[in-house]
Amino acid sequence: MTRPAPAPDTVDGLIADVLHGTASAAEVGRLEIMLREQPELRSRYLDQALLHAQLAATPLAAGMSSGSRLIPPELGHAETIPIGAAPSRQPLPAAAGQLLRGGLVMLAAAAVLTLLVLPPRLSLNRPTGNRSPEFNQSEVAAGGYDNRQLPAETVGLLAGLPNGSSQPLLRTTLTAGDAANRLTTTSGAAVEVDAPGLFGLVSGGTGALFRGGARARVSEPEQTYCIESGNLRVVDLGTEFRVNRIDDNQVAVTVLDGEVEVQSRVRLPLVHWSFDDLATGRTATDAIHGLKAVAGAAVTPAAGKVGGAAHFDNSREAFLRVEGGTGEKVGTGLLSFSTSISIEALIVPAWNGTFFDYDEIWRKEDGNSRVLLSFQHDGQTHAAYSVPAVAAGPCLSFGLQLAIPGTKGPRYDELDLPLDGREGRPTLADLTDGQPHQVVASFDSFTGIKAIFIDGRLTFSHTYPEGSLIVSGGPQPGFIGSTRGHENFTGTIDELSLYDFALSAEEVAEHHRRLLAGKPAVPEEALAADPAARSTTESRHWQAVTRLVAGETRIFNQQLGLPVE
Amino acid sequence: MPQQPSDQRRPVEAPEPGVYEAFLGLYSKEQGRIQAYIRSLVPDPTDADDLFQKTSLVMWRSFASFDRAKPFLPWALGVARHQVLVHWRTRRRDRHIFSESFLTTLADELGERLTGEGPSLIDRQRALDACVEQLPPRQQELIRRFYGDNEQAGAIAASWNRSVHAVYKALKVMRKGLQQCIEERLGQLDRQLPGMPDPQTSPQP
Repeated sequence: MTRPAPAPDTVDGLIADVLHGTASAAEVGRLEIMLREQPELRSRYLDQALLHAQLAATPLAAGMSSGSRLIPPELGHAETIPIGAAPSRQPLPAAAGQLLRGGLVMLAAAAVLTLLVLPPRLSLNRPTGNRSPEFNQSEVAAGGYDNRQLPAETVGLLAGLPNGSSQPLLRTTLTAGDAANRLTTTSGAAVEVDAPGLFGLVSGGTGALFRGGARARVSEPEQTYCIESGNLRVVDLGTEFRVNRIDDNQVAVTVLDGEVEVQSRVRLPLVHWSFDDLATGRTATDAIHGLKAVAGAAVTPAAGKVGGAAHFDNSREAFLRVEGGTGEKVGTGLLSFSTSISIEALIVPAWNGTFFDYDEIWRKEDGNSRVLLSFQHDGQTHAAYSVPAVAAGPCLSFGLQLAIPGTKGPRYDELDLPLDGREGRPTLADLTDGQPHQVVASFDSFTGIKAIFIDGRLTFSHTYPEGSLIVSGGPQPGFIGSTRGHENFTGTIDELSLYDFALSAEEVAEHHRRLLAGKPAVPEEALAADPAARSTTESRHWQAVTRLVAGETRIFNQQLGLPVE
Repeated sequence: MPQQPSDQRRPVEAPEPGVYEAFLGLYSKEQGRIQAYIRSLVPDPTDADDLFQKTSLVMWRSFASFDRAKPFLPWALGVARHQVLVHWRTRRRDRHIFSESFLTTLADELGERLTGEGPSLIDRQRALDACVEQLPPRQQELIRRFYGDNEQAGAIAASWNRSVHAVYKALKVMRKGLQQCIEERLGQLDRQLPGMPDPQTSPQP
């Protein structure tokens, strides 16, 4: 008996349902019978399946115009703008652009580079929504390697463009040339940057003075603005003040009207997880702000050098996802770093260093504004993102999206510490010897130095132009030991701290000494001290030094955060 | 007695000189086809990406066993085929999927299609790109969101104030139109090639 031929629409509907994953078991079975019996329908199915696959490779899906099929897509959403210059989109790296233009074969070549050496360290993995209930839909949409350009916080409006218009500004470092520059911040402050000068627009309410001088004025009581310089911060308490960099150590603060409070940085972690609490639950709570990191099923408590630790078995469920610290846009949220960052971890890694393999220590991926510290092996010889370029091989990688003065937009770079045993660097075997190791990655906008320390010692660094700003933070959660359920860590993470400043070499060495002695890098009493006095984020990280009133000028050491007598 | 190293702690093996470059060269050329092969057989983008990376890793690890005198693509698709079938075997419990024997048939026919005669994947992709450019903005948005950003149909439906069913239907209709467009363009391409019979004038079988 011959089965009647199904209507084309019926077949197409079933094929579509299978491709969408919405077909029932009965429908799948029905379609299989049809396709088994009729080769032409099977060919039709393969046509549709291939089209489904190729649609993901179209320039439109990849977020680019045809003729410039690029992997990865154009980076950047913040600008580093010479004053008066028109806004410009960040160009692709020339090499990448040349490499990737010119058809599908070149796409394939570029894509393999993507897989082998570029963001694939960020990998092509994407977690599925139905695989793990811990991931929500927005994270699933974002994917494991999220190269989207997420909306960023607008920090101000730059006035006085040649055509008389104002230019919205994202996180940016202004390089003042010949003329003073005026802008209005989103907090309502009027800021004037002296020429020549270098001034970072960190957020709507904060600026960073790298060179020269700047003046800020607020006219309404509810408006605020502060200017940072190193470990010093000047907070406007009403009306007008100016700050001048005298040299690398000293700044002068002058109050023109009203009052300011001068504050020094509290050099404590922004967040710190000891993982001691995993012994009694599935959540590790940050000691500073109480951010909870929820453990995946494969994270188990372990004995650490300093109290308890988290053990990761490299499986997809080996992760801790941080609840909170996010913000609506890039540049916002507690875990948004701007002028400086340090990531400090005490780990007992068991990474095997296999080609294509990655083990994350910390990663927060807000589109292409990502912060990561991870073990990677993906052939860095060809990596456009490896700055400085290093030989291929296993490495410890520290990635940041940076807005660099003098360039036309932010770019994502990784400082890849080769684990090759050369020039004082450790080998992979050195780090996987079963002993705990302190790893610290830091970046400081005021010096431009991006560095990796191993066991208390500076091991690798690169210097960027002074004033380079980190573009980070936003809506995506941070992950410990994973990137959204992928690239999972192998071994134990004993302690993890994030700082919103760069630890000095002396601090790193001191922390290492403490860790070797089985003590937390930062004394617990310092983390816990006077909680009442640290009721707000601000007071936890900045402490008042003095107040100045109209007519007063005083010089401060910006490294020490103290007045120069 | 010293403990045997586990696979997890297996030391990194330094490849022979030139092996890395050889692999990269072959892989670069065929990566698009391998990816299309996997995604055709594993429609879920996240699963497909996982499998693609896994396949790449397996290819690299077993590259030493590959006879470089032979074509790379059939070998690579063989590796991918194995990974796909293992994937479906392990996912059988939680997915409504074809039987393994039928999946094998599909995998083999798709492999023949990608390695055999007929329109190349590159030609298909070029035709598809041109067809996509002609789509109305709404359908282009659908491609960008569903295939580019991997947004769930439910999320797209919510933002469009439509039902999920309507989004799936829009995808189906769009693909149908694109398939026709691709075939027309490939037909034109055939006619442009010197020495090829013109399908409009040649007798049909």
